[in-house]
Amino acid sequence: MWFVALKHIFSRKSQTLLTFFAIVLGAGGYVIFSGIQLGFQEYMIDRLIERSGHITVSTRNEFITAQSLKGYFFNDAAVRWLNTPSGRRSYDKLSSASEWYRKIRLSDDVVAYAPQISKEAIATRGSFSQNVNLVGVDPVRQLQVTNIEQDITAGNFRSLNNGNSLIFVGERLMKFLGAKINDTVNVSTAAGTITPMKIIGTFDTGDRRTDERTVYASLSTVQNATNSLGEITTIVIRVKDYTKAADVATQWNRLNSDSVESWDQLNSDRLSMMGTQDIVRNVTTIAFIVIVAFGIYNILNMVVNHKMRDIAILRSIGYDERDTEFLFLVQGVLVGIVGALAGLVFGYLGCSYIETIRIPMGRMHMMISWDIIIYVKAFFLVVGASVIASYFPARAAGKLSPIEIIRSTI
Amino acid sequence: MNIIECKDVVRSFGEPPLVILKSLSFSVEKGEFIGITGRSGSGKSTLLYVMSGLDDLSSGEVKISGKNIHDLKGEELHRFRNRNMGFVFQFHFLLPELTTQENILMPARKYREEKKREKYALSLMEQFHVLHCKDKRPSQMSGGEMQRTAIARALVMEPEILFADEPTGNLDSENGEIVMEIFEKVNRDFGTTIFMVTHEQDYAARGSRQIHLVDGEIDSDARTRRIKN
Repeated sequence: MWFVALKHIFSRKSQTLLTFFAIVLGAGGYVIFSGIQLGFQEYMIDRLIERSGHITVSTRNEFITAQSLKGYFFNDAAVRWLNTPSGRRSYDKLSSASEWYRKIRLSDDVVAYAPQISKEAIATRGSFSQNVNLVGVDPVRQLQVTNIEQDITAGNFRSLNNGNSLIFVGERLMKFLGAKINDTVNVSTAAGTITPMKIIGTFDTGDRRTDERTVYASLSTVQNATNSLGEITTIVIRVKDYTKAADVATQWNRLNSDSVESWDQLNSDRLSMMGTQDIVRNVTTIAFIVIVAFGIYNILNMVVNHKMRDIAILRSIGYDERDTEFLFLVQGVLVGIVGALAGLVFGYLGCSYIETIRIPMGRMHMMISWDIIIYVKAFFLVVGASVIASYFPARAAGKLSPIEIIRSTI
Repeated sequence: MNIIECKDVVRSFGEPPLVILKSLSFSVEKGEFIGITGRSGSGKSTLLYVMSGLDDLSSGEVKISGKNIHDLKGEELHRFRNRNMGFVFQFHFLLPELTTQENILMPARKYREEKKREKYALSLMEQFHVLHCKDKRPSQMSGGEMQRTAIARALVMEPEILFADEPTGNLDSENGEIVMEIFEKVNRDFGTTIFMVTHEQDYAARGSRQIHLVDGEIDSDARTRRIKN
């Protein structure tokens, strides 16, 4: 039956090509659409994971409720609040940074950690000023837990340790202040101090808010400028397996009064948005595949109707129902497989081209996922759809009675 | 020796039943060339299809080479049909995508015997004067050539019985005559039993036996000549 099936495929060139192109578009569309969406998601997740660290230990903010004051007044049973307590308790520094360091060093899950101190400040140069987040880091440790080095556009991040009052600023902040490398800006803090700081490097993360408002300096520079010697507000941690960061964070969160959050807990809203994107992507791509399947089904149905006489003669010369089914099934599946493979190539080429399109964000060009799973899924979905779409006309062909066909022909 | 035995063959359709074949009983000897005649609706074609197992029986029994054809199921029935029976219809029913040679070898392909049967197929093409059409598709051939190709296809497995339903019905008299000569030659040289339904009294009379049906019953059953054994 392979022989006849191939003859059918090659003799019906226009129908075969039509089906083939529908499948190519289906598989290619799946690859391109998934490549773009997942590429963007991978980029976002990469940013979330690698730029801000896997786990962040930070000062806790407590919101006061009636529950917060339980046990403070008389016997709890006798307390009735006329005005329910409300408010917030916040802490300027971690409860015990040294205790955290000890705990982190003992953990097998941790690869590296970096202490930070973050304070609000105002950067001024001449008549220009900008509210900034002054972040004090240990540059060597910071590079071990985040990939900020990839975003450096000028200078050496490690040079922050080469002296006091040296800073790295975002490219946009530098423009706002009308400054250039080696210029000095005045940094005012809530402690009332104004410290001249020298710009020794710049970075460009692609995130507008970060690039406009973040200033990196050494830990001691920030501690001195804000009168907070020895204080640490954040510890950024890198673990061996980022997918297990939430488990580690949840476990540590129970043990201490500070807040411990993993990258995915910290960005749960963005991740749930990505989940919604996944639903949209799946619905759209499945719609592609269903359209392809209907195309194959319609064309094969027409072929079966045109080939009634062939079916009758094949049955009269000893071919059985299964042969007839196979004849039509294999046509759909063969075109499906070849079309799916061509569709993958089309999708790959399409993604390669789209990746070169420049956009004013992120890596400055379209971000494409090259995950092999996209291609595997596209292939099996399209071939699966071809099998299902071919099966029904093929089964109908197998059930045709040769004598009925002959009677209706004569 | 009887190659076909029909016993009380009844075929009816629908409800209430419209009886087309009314308890027909007869037997066919190996090597006979039987012409079945009768008016339209007399049950000629139905008898042919019931005898060959392409159509079901309502009641009765048809035995071919001692086997009850309607008791055969699945692979056994298809193999039996492939090995023992050839069919020629009013229309050639050639597969339009295949060449003459490929069409003729289609029955052999079922059991991957196309190589084994190729030489025989070529000799049939030569005998039936379609060798020049070997690589042509049906659309490139005349009606007579197509019907001769269909006969070669029916004979390529060297079946014991050839069932022909109005094989000349779609041909002009010249081509009809050629087809009849081929049938006579096949019957004479290969000893193939031929069961031919026809409207043409002259063609039916050229067989060794003629059965005339009237309203689903045998009106006459006469041997026109002795068969060679």
